Amino acid sequence: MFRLLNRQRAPRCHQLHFLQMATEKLAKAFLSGSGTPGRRPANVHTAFTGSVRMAKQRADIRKICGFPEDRRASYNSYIDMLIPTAREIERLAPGVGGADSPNTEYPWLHAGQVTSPLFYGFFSVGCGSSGFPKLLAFFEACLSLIRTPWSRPHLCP
Amino acid sequence: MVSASDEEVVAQAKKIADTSRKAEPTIEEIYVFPSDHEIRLIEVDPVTAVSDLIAPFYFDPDPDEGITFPCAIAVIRPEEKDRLSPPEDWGRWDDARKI
Repeated sequence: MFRLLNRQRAPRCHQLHFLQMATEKLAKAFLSGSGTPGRRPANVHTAFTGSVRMAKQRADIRKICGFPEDRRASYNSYIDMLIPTAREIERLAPGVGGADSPNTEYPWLHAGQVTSPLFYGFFSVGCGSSGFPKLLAFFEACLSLIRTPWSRPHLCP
Repeated sequence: MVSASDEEVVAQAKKIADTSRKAEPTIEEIYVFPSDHEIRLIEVDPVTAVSDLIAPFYFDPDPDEGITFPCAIAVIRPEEKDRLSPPEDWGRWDDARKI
């Protein structure tokens, strides 16, 4: 959905809203897998960065991203590079940045002026930076792992 | 022949490329594809996830930063350059300019 909206150049708030929600769901899936079965993980709005960081410990994610065991150090640097962009996406949730900070869902008040997400550029969020496409590729690799773990060949030994 | 706006696109592409290189020091090469209305970049970086296709990510113009054209950026690994074709309508690798 995010890819579609991005290709169609939909307003950036709509694109980022879908992305932020999707990353939150992915993080929830990660945390559910690592926590107590049946228990909802706490603070899901801020779980994405943590789950990206946690990916360092996941050999299955390392492999699907194409980093064999002998490139583990490179994989760890790759994950470190993703974290600032992950944090930017996480902060787009209204519950994270605070009521008066830019978010993709609700208007906010700044210096006495109401701003709508629709008319806000969100330029600070990965604009013109390769961190964003990299994070997106990582996210899609994680999704493919969840969706069809059997259909994708192992990309590295 | 390169038109004035092509040159403008390339100049802005270089600005984005500089920012990318500073943020991602592992980038080995950056290619800009011809267009007079959009900045089309493929960055070659060994420290990224493997891809099955080159799927660019689209950004809006950012006039405050001097970027007046929309921008599309994709990141691939060095070994994928021989295997993957540029996105549809971008032309061939031979059409790209290394910046």
